[in-house]
Amino acid sequence: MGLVTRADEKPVLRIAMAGHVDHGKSTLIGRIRHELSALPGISAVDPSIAGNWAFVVDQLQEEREREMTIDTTQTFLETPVCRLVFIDVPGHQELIHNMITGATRADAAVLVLAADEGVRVQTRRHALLLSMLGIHTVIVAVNKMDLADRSESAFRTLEEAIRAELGALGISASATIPVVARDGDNVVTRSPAMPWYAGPSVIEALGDVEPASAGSDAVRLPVQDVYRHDAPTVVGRLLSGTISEGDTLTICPSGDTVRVSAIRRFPENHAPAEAGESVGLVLDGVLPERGAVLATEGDLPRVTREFAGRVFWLASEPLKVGEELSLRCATQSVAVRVEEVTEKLDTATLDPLPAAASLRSMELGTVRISAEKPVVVEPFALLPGLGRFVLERAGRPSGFGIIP
Amino acid sequence: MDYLSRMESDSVYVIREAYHRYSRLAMLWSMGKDSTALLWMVRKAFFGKIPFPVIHIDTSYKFPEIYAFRDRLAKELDLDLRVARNEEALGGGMGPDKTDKFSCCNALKTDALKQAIAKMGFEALLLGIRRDEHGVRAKERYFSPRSQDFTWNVGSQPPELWDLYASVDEAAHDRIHPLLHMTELDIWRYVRREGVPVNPLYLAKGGKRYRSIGCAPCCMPIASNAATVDEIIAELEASREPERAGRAQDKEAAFTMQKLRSLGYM
Repeated sequence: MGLVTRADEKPVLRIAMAGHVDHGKSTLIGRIRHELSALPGISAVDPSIAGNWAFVVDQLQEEREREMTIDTTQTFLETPVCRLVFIDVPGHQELIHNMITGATRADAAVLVLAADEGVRVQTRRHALLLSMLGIHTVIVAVNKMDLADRSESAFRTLEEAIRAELGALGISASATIPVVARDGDNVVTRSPAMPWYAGPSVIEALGDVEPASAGSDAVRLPVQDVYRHDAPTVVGRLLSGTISEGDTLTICPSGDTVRVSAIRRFPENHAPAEAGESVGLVLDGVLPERGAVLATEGDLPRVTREFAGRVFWLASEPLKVGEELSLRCATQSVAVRVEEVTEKLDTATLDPLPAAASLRSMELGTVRISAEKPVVVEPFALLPGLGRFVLERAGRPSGFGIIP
Repeated sequence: MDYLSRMESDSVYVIREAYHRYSRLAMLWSMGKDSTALLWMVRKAFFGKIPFPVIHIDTSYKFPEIYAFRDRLAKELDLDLRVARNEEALGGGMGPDKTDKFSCCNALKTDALKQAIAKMGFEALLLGIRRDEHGVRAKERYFSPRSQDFTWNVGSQPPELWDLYASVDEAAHDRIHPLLHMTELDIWRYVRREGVPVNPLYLAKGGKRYRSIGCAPCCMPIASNAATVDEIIAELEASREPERAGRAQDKEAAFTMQKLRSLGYM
């Protein structure tokens, strides 16, 4: 973190803090916040909470009284070279929906593990969720090293255990760091109290994270709405590719072809639309409806009425084979039926579960889904925006999944 | 795409999701920098003409500069402006000197908003709050359901996964927060880039300026010589003071913001 980068060129890194309840996620964020407040532009931590670092993010009365994070929070830090958004999440199993709400916004994660307790149920479950959500950049912070006498041998044992757990999930930790979050050991600066450790501090390890690069360059624009206040205008946010005036696009699933007669913005600007942009299009041809996906002619996404996804179930009432739900994927909202549940996993132990015609809360399984009408999807790894979905029961998000 | 454009696109996405979902949608505009930036984005989302009403919750204690700014922009941008006041409380003499700040905010802002929603029948409101303003606002969702009596049950909010916002809820009304991901500095950089109109109260005069604006009796200026948007940005890039340091209601007692918000405060 040496040179100063211009504000609008600074990369943004959104980091979820994951791990078991009371292993020190909020404390680590609070301590980072405190140490970085030496930088200009970062406000000082309220002196009345000095030492009680978790209070930096745990600002609800109930959270402070119970000394436990209840809801997910984001805290923003702008350093001279990058913008960091720390996403704190609760570690309590009853609050897993709040953990996932936070984690779906992250690019990378710090998995916090307390040295005195080691790998616990939520350590494992959170790691599984990170892997499922495609968050493959994970830094492990072995916290509360003071409770293990800051000893190297204790650290190495834990390091080996967590690496094995993560390896089974296809995650290779980019660093495993011995930390005392409360005292600031290896949080921002290297700790002289653990001279045997030669690796990066948490902040140094985060500084080495490369921002995710764009995947496919095929056009994928889920139609959000059609405005008819004046010239009918299709609006949406471009997931991938570039659209220029004059381009020919295919509407999925109908297969109709349209020509982009104008790109609309306010104030007027006809430059090509790029990935990530919310844009308006005036089209020659049949007008698509919300839910349709505009795609590069000849390079189309998958259009199907049946597919399988890895689903994590959230609602207390189990998901049952034969049940009808609503599926949300990009701007699509489609009635679906659950045809089959296979490959069930106990997310507390990562052990396989016996076959069953249902998926209970906090279980993961492969769910075969049939839709009332064709849906447009892509593998999650290729294009996350068309590879992830939410299952709603009576309008409430009850489970979510990704398409392998 | 640069980060401000990405943030704007993400905000516009949320605005358009809200417009798709609710036939009776409105936005709250306080004439501060955040809700004016939101107004700007809403205008961009609909190619120049805002297709729903813009509500000002008027406590009657705002700075004269705020009223002047409101009337000028409402005319220039051709807004469908609705001004909502809790006339009954104002008739009874409610004000920041009559009672504590908590009760005054609750009566003149929250209750005025309740009355306006009931009278005008809105299902959902767009608001320009941001996560980095306050630790309690940091816990907000983009789509936030509120009950009939307006309460926000912060401990049991529904999950919000990626940008697949829940399609139905039993809420009496919803709050939508398109600017949640922006910081104070982001807003000023956006204001600079877009040329968003700026209330003169933010610009230093005689060594003082307001960093956060609201009711005149409850906002304190900060010592500053930042008389232009560029100078404000340079000042914030070096500042270590939190944004709402000059807001009286945040200081009155611990958890005041949480209590206000749980009762429906903006």
